[in-house]
Amino acid sequence: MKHFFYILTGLALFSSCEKVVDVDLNEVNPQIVIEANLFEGEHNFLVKVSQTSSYFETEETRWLSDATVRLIGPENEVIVLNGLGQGQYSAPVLAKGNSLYTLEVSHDLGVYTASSFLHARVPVSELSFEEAEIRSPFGQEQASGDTYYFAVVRFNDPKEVENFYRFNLAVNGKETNPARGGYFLTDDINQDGETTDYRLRGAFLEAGDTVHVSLLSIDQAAHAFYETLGDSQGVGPASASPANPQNNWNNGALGYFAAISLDQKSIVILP
Amino acid sequence: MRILSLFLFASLWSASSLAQNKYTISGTIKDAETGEDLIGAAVVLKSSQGTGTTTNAYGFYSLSLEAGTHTLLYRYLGYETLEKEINLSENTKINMELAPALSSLTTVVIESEKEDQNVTSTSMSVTKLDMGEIEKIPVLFGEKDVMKTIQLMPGVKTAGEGNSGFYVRGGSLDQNLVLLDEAPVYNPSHLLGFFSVFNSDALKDVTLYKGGMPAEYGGRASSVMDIKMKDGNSKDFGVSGGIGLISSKLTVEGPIVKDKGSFIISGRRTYADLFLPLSGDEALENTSLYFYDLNAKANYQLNENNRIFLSGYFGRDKFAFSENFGFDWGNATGTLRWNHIFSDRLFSNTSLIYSDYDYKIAIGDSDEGFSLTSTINDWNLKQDFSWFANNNNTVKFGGNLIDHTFVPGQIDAGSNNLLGSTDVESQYAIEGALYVQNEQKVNDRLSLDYGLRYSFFDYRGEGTAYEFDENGTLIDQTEYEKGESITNYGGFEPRLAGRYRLNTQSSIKASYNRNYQYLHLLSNNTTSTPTDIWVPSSNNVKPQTADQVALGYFRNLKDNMFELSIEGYYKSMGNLIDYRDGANIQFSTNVESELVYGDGEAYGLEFFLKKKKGRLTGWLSYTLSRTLREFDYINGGEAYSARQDRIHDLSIVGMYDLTDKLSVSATWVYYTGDAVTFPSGKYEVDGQVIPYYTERNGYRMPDYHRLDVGLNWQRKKTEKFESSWNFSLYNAYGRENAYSIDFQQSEANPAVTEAVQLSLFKWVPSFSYNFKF
Repeated sequence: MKHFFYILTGLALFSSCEKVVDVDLNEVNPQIVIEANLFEGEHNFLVKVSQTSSYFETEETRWLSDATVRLIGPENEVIVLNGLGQGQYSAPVLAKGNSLYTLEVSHDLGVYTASSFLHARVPVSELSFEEAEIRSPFGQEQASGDTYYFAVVRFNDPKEVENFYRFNLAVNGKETNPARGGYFLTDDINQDGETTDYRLRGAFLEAGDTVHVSLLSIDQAAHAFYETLGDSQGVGPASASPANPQNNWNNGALGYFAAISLDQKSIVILP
Repeated sequence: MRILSLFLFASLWSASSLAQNKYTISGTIKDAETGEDLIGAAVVLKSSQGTGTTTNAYGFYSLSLEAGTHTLLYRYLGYETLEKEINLSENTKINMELAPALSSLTTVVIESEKEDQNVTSTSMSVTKLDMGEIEKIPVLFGEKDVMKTIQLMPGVKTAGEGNSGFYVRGGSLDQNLVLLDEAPVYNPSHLLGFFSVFNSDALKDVTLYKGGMPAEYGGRASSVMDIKMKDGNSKDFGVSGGIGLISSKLTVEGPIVKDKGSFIISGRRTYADLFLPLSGDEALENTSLYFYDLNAKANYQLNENNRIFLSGYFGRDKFAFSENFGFDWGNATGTLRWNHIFSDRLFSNTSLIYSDYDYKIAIGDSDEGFSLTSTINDWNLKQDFSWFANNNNTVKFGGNLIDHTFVPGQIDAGSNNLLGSTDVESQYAIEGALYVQNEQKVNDRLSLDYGLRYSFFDYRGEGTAYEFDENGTLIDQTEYEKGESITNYGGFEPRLAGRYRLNTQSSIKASYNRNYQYLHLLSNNTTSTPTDIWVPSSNNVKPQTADQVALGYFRNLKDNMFELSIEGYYKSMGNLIDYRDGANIQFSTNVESELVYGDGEAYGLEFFLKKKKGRLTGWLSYTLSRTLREFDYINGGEAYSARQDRIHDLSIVGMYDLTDKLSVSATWVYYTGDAVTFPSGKYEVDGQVIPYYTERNGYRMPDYHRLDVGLNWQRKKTEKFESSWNFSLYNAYGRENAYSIDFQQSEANPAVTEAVQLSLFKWVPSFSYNFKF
């Protein structure tokens, strides 16, 4: 009995502790951040331009409203976006599939360009759901053995085209990413031209949820951005050296420019 | 290279031509109580103590003297010296057994070195662990551990809090060759690195070469940790064991045939998880988490000139969570050895060595689930000769051939699983080496060890060779048939060490070594994990290289009571491997596309002062060093600090004998925080706050320091039974050392970003009870 006591004391003291600490971080020159999603079809194209700030700063984002933003289309047509203030720029655009678009931002800090290929739309042929048992012990609040639902997206991958996909999931109107971080991303490297069922296993759905899924067809650079952004978020004692996500801006700008064609469907989970 | 071999043969030839009317005395030296071979025991002429030799790894010696009457001294530190008079008129065999000296103060400490070894030996940058000291040094959870004790030596840095992994002179974790009875151990850690796989009860000798390694060793760029298992008591049966806080162990040893053969079996198992159900947490109740080790060895003397050894290690970690998730990993090694004495001057050892590391993850049941297995497997045939050419030259030569098989990831899916079974292709390679080296006593002051190793590596089919462009995009692939060479590498590795004796108390030593490394460990993480995988050099991955020069001053003080050494080194490393920014190598079919290659350099100054005699013993070890890396695709091509670039690293170890039975010990360590990457800013994209990084490893973790204390209490000691208690307290003043610092949005207020520090192990007391009968 005495030994039990020793052992339990030992286990209780073998505990880790977490606390918020002060870390002295360098002040660096601010870097420009440009974020833009160009959608297929006629829409109001929106570009956001801002600047990095100190890591512990509590002020709102530093928007840059004094830039010149131009979109160059597949036939070299140029559309100049209007500044709306708060770092936002916009213009009505009719974007066509299978075309290359280039975005150019000029500012006192420099001139930045990025190009993105707008793929043809890939329709969602069916949205369904499946039930499964929770198996893995990591990162979930539910106990092992409980069941959950996940969405399944079926689509026909276009043959002989390199396709990259991102899935946006909204559950009861709320954007939902995989529980373990990162994004729902895939490509057609091993399934070119096939009918594909993509399982959004990372998000745990319950009976009665209304689920809205968008299938975003994106280019390789946008896919790489989301993939590396997802990886860099997983900072912990056992993760690789963190780095900025890869993007398609030249001149060191942060953010990304993605041309996206999308299709979407909704479903209600019924037990 | 040619000059070196000419020099070698010229010096041997001239020496042997003088060897007229000489006869050879050869034999073995063993412990009189246990029959264990004594490694490095000395045989010298009483009249001229500079003439003599030492035993090799199997306790064999050979000494040539002129005909006539001689008085020989057989000696080994911690043992009674024996004097033997002989009348030499023909080649003679003399096997000796030395009795352990009885010390009044403490239990006998078996030190595997001569008293003034520090000054007289040619080798530098070598650390030999004293198995007696390991017992006394306080450690985490009271699990005495050779890999943790070695981290208290200069030039050796821990991989992290409580971790058994280590960095040697700026090298990476995978650049240490860890040998257990000649078999490489690919993952020498348990439970995510908190324990090493080496059960110290089964070990006889631990030597770490940080540089200037003899030509017989090769295959890793930075260091060699050569661990030899005990042979087992060939005189009497014995049982010893220990009961500790988290593990228990038991060792049984004894003669197979008295004085002709012996065996030893030693096992250890942890049981901390047996108490998990007591936690009342439902999730923990079905969790199991434990490891075990089994060491076994047997040897048998067939006749005067032939002896065989069979040794093996088997260990495994098991982690299971409910019935649906299982994860286990472990090493298995085996060594079959044959010692043969061709003549009184030529000793041979032939080894057949097996080594295997694998891990397996199983998720779900057999129908719907899947399992993933990854393996590295070696068969190695090795031949070594020791030729005791004359009293001034000992030549070692030999070679080996290894057949490597790598299974990076084999997925077996159940029949109803939609993933389907896939194999990431297996890879094959042959690795080999030939070497020759000579230990030469030039005169009383100067002695030299010089050698040359030629190593080669053949990456071969059956398999596919992939070609990537600089962004890691696949551009071409070629299929190869079974046994067809895909690509091969080879090169000479010169090794050189010299000692110049200034006087009886001090010497200067210098060394140079070049090493090639053909296997590489890929890891997503900064600490070692079971899922790290070994990959061969290939058409994309070039062999890692290291060139090192070192210079040292060695001095013994106060009649060898104190031992002092100061060494400086410079090491340049080539073809180091890292990952592209944001790379994810786990389960990747084309891991090689995620790799980038670069160079590194490391330099430093190591200071070591040891007190070897008296009530108070211990040492002070301080290392001042830098470790830099330079990669085209990392940090914009600028050189940056490696994670282990700790500028100051200090360890102080003290052991004090209060009485015959009671001793206390303490260690204090301090080192500069690891070089790490922190964000220098933040920005917002997609509605998320994202950290902005400007340079790789541009920041430092807080400095680390910790005090551990221990108490050893010998309860009983008789001929028949010995028992002792050991108490220790890890991190005695409860310092909250940073294990990690995470930058994240505050949970309470997402608009605020904060840095959160995680600390492990604040005050960890432990105890163990040890017995022997």
